[in-house]
Amino acid sequence: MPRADGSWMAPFRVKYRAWWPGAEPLIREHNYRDAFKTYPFPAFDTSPWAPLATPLERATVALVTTAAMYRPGTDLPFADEHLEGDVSFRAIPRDVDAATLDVIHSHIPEQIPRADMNTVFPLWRLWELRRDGVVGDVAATHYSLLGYNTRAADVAEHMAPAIAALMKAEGVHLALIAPV
Amino acid sequence: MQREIEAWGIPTMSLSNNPARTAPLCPPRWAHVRFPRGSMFGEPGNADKQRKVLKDALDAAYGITTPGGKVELPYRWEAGPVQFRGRSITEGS
Repeated sequence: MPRADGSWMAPFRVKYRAWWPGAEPLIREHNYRDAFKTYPFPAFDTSPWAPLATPLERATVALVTTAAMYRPGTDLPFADEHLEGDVSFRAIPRDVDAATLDVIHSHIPEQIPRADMNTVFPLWRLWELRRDGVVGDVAATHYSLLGYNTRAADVAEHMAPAIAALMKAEGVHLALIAPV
Repeated sequence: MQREIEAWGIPTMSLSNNPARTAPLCPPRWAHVRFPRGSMFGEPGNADKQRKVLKDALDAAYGITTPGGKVELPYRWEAGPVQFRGRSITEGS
């Protein structure tokens, strides 16, 4: 269940259903520029707010990447070819070996994260900050999702609350979200 | 997504290389980074810069005291342009 003001979702879904018939053929042709000219991008005047109560040197930090990173052989890859994206996420453990990760995300230059996952998911840099006493701890779990998602209301209503609940259960004090 | 996680009581910070797209979403806390698409923390292999970007983003979160606050991080892409869909990109998405 969402906790932020969800009043935008129903109007968004109405506009989305009106947008999709014209956008679908453009997206099939990979003409994203024209497809998204009329996308009903949500806009807000205010923001939810959770005060940062724990100093960084004692804070447990979690990372969220939209680079569609996953562990082949352990996780299913994202449905990157789906026209509306993929409203799912992967939970990445903090002790993951970078060599076991891959990205499949046709909307980004995949060669960059494949050369160095820290460019999109700096888990190993975060461990170094923990070693140096800059951050309190590295969260047990971090999160990967596909940045290409047209169903914004579904992301807010289903994916985000699930991630937030897991973060809360693990005592995360600060989440850093890095889109691609 | 960031808004929802924040609403659940988890303080959040985000990075963006596309302020025009990000600003209307009014994220709780965010930083503009002038890196190309697919590389929000800097060049592959540049561990020092990646660590600085990460640390500065986390520090900036604590410096933002009003909802929707934004900072500019000073870093620039120092490798060759990123090739993507027929374009050469050094900044932005």
